[in-house]
Amino acid sequence: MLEGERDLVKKSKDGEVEAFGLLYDYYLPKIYRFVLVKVGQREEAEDLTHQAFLKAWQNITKYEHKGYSFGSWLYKIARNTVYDHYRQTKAEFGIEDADNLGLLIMEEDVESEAEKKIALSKILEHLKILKEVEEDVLIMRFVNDMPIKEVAATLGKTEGAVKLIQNRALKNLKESISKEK
Amino acid sequence: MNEERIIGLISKLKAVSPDADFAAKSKKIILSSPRSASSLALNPRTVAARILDIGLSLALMTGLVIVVLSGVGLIFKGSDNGSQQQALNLSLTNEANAAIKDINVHLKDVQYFNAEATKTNAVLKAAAGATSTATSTGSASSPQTTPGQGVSTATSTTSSTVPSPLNNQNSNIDNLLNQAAQ
Repeated sequence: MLEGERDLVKKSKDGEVEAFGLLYDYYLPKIYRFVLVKVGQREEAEDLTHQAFLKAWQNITKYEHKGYSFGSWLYKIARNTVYDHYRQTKAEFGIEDADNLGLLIMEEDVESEAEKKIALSKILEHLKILKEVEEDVLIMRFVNDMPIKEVAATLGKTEGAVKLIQNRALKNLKESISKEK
Repeated sequence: MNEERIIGLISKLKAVSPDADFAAKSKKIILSSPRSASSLALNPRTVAARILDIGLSLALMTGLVIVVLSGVGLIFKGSDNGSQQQALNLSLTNEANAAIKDINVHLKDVQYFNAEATKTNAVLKAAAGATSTATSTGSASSPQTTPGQGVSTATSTTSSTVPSPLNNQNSNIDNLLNQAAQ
């Protein structure tokens, strides 16, 4: 959670663009990653992320701090934006898509670059096999490092339920990859 | 592929970051866009703040009107007080004049009684002088009591037959008082 977040949110509600600008700078990478992993296309991810932040700015007066952070509220908006997008089209991942994500991980180990690309592309593909909520939990937990409590608040579930969903998601992902082999 | 490997690969996606140019452009567009009027209007806090704002304005306006009206009232009340004060002063003056008249009457009475007392005093002194003369004459002509006679008998005889100097004195005082009264 961003330091002084509540104050920034209050100022944003009062119409201070600088305050919302700071919130945008802090949450943009997280929301963008979340959206990008879900849709798999950089351009689409940029468009949907922009839409999500625009909705947040236009409706920030509706946000009330009820035990979860402003980030959780942003994730909810992003999720809804992506779901609306999914109703129209279903993104599919391939190895080109993994390249298109602009990942920096490959530069660390040049020898296994191709192998890691394939592995990552498989993960991204198999994430699409999971249920939406399972995919959301894995992205929030392992891509954006969100604590279980915040994930639970974002998804409107209990912490125990989130743990169960996470375990089930990993198991399903593992089984899906094993079946392919 | 075990779970740790899967988690490790998913975690690699942390390196994904938005394009800096996109981030700048998007931010600029978002912050320059107006916030929807509906969200501002329907927000309970905004509505409450506006109501409070209007209420405070009305309260301040009412207070100002009351202060102005009170000031005007005080001005008119001040002029009324002037006339009332004048009337009060007049009544007090009249009352004081009446009291002075009473005091003057009482002073005249005192002067009169003083003069009368002086006259009475003079008359009494004159009467006292006459009485002392008569007493000295009366005591020289009174009979001597013989030995053996009762004292009470002699006294009663003297009081009944011989004219008393005190009676003369009283009659003189009465006469003088009558003269003074006249």
